Parts: sequence; C-alpha cells; structure tokens
Amino acid sequence: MSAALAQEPGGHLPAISIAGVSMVFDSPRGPVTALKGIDLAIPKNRFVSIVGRSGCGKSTLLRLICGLVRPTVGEVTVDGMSPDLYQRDRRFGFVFQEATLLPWRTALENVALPMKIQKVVQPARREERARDLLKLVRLQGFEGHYPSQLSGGMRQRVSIARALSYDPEILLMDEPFGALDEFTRQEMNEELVRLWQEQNRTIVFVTHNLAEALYLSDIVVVMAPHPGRVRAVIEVDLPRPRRAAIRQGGDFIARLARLEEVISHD
Amino acid sequence: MTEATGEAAGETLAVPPGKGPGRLRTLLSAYAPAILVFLTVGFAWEAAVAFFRIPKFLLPAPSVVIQRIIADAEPLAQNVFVTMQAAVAGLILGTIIALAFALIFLMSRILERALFPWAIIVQTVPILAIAPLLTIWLGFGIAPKIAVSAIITIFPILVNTVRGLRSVNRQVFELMRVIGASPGQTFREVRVFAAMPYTFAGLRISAGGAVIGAIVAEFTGANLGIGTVIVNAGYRQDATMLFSAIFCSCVATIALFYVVVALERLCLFWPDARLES
Repeated sequence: MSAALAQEPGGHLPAISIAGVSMVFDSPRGPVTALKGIDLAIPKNRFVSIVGRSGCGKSTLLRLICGLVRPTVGEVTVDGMSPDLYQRDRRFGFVFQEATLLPWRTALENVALPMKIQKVVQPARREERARDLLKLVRLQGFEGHYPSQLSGGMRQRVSIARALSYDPEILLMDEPFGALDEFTRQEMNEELVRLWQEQNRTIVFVTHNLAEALYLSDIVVVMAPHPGRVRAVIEVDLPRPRRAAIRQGGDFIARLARLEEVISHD
Repeated sequence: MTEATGEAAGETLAVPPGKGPGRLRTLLSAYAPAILVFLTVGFAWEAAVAFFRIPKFLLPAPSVVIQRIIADAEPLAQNVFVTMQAAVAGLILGTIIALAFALIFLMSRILERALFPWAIIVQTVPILAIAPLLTIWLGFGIAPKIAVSAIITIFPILVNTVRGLRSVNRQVFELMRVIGASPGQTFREVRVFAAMPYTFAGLRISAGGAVIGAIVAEFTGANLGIGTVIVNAGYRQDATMLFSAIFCSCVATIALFYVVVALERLCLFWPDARLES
C-alpha cells in the first residue's frame, strides 16, 4: 500500500457522504431523473473515480458535492457539514473539463485568481505562490503566457495549479483530461498521481476512460444511466506507487475487462 | 513532461509579424492593391474630365479639388474641427448611454424587454427628420449636433455590449462560484473583459455614424461646421467645394476611426481578444 493510503487515519469519518440522493431536472419534455437513490461514502485522502456512460449523471454528482446544484431528495455532507457551509469555510478545488482559464489573464494571473478573489494571501505573496504552483505543474517559464499561447495540456495544468492555489482538502475533477490526446492524457495522469502523492487530498475524478480510472484510483464507482445510479463500487488494490508500465500488465488488462463488463452489463 | 514543454514552445503561437526587412514587404503587399486601385481611379477621373471636357461645375478634376483644398485649407480645417468636436462629444455621450443601458439590460430581462423596442425606435427614426426638431429644442450651437451624433452612436454599441456581457460560458460562472467570487467580483474579473471586444466592434461602427450625425445636424441649422460648408456650396452649385468638403470629412472620419482602433489595441491587450472583423 502506498504512503498516502497508509496515512489514512482509521478511515471512519468519510470525507464526503451522499445519502439517498435523487435529482430531478425540469426539461421542456417534462421532468428528467438525472440521479436516483445514490448512496455513497468517499473516504478521506483516497483517489476515487466515477465512471459511466454519458448521461449517467457523473458531472451532476460532482456538482452536488460542491453545492453548485442541490439534490431534489436526500443529503450530501462534506466533512460533517453541508456543501454550502464547507464551501464557505474551506472551499472545494474544482477542475473542469475545459481548462476554463480567463483569456485576458496570463498563466500566472490565472493561478493567482482564487487568492485574489478570496483575499486570503497577501498580494505580494500571491505571485510567489502562483510561481511555485506553476513550477509544481512543470510550467516554469510560461508564467507570462496567455492561455491561447499554451497547448491544451498546458492549459489544463494551469487550471490544476489554480485549483491547488488555495490548498483545498477535496479536489473535484470533471473529466479534466477528456479533451486531450491520448499521449498528453497519460502524461497528465502521471502528473496527477505525483501531485496527489506529494500531499494528502481527497480526489473525486469523473472520467469515461476506464483505463485512466483504473490506473489512478483507489476506488472506482461505476454508474449506470437512465436514471443515473450507482451500479458498483470497486476497490482497486493495485500496489502504489504505480508505474505507467502496469497498464500493459496482464493483471491490469484483466481488471479492465471486468470493469468493462460491469459497465456494459444492462 | 519536459519534452511537452519543448513541443509547446514550438507550438506557441506565431511570432507577431516582426520587425526587420520582412515587415516593409508585408505592409506593402497588404496596402499595395488598395493604393493601386486608388491611383488608377484618380488618374482615370483626371483623364476623363480632360478628354470629355467636362465642365468644372459638373465634375471637377481631382487636381482642381486638391488645389481648392490647399487654397481653402484654413476655413476647411476650422469647419472640420467644429464638426469633429461635436462628433467626438456625441460618440462619447452615446457610448456612456449605451453602456448604462447595457448594464440595465444585463441586470433585468424585464427591463430589457420593456426598453429594447425604444432602442429600435431610436435607431429607425429618420435622423434627417429629427435633426431639425433637435435644433428647435437645443438651438444652433453644438448641442443638437452632439444629440444627433449620440442617437446614431447608441444602438450598435448597446446591442454589441449586451451580447458581449452575455457571451461568458456557464463553466466560467461555475468556476467563479467555486472559488468564492461575489457577483461584483465576477463582473469585474469576467464580464467587463468578455464584453470589451464586442463593445469595440460596436464603437468601430459608431465612429463613422457619429460624424455623419454631426454633419446632418449642421444641415438643418448651424453657423459653423463642414455640414454648413456643404449646404452653402450646394446653394452656390460649387461642385469643387462640395468635393473638397466631402474629402475633408472623409479624412477626418477615417482619423476618428483609427483613434478608436488605437484605443481598442490598448484595451484589448490579450492575444485572442479582437473579434474577427
């Protein structure tokens, strides 16, 4: 087991708990059930992936956790409090599918934006910290570049640095590497594991790439669509640190096949 | 990851059309066709007037117009200056009004629905018809000119700015909420910048309109301005003076347009800011 897992304190209080959550949207063609009867406990400092087909409510689940949307029925608690309260006191880190950088701000200014908004760090320290974060995601030398001058992978790294800038204990990631090519995606996977192992955090990672989920996660939550529900929660006990080569190993491929089976089974 | 950095450096967008010998050639190839056509038309005009012996009161040759502009440079410049004062003041006033209404529309859809028809009415009212009204109300000075200029200016800036303020995608708002931004902070950090390219697109259109507005207002009663020069030359059937006045106001309008463009370059400092035009 990796250092990160071993340090987990007993693991009794989950970081995030979702109890009996359903979510109904109004649409022009009548109400649509996006999520139905979700029960899920996400332990602290684990890397948890949520996988499933499009339309299974993965992204909605993520937005429920951080309070961007509210459940129709049920309750979400984060570290024992409501998402709103948690958001006000400690804040979630959130990485979107698109990098969602402000085009009129340089990489450095984009990373510093949350600190500027929250006024938590002194202005003089902000730039220094943003610089350190860009170094952390290996973008030193690109501080003054505008988003349009960066490649897709670099933009997403800036957005990860931005999410880390206020040091959130919980990092929510909504298909962050979905728009990247396969090579860049694998590089970013390595990068993310490295970042996660440097400092303990709970990461909830939405993806539709099963290999990515398997490679990164301690736990994979498999969801099914129409209505969105949890089909299976799978522990991934591959030893850490994992090296990229395990993706080619027989064990990994066998697990991948089983995971695919769980998803496609209707 | 290190090779990614190298690759991306190559990918980093093209160096801006640089300095050095290449630049002159780029400029030349950009403007040469326009200059060539311009000169050709000028010479054809000059030749046609001489060849067909067209009398000066019908169509003066370009050389005659140029001579007249040089001879009357001082009064022409004075009158253009008076008109441009009104046009610039009208453009500024119209921009302020347009931005204020854009904000109101952003804050309330109901007010937008209630007030937008008025914006269209103001836009569609024949400007030649309200100019005399405004002269009656505001006198023969600069005030009615500013008013007419402002009226012409408002619509393009208003419509574009409203679109720009709403051009922010949903994920950006989610981001701002997640990082804890207040609505005011979101406005300052996001909406203002998102709207600016659109506002300037409107301003480019309005710049020309503002000058036309001032000239039209001068038609219906004013003591000074290029519009009065045009009206007087019309009475005297002085085609040469008409051409001179038209030429001078065109030059002044183009100058104003480029002031707006320069301002735009200053405000839209990020690389992909300017809308394709």
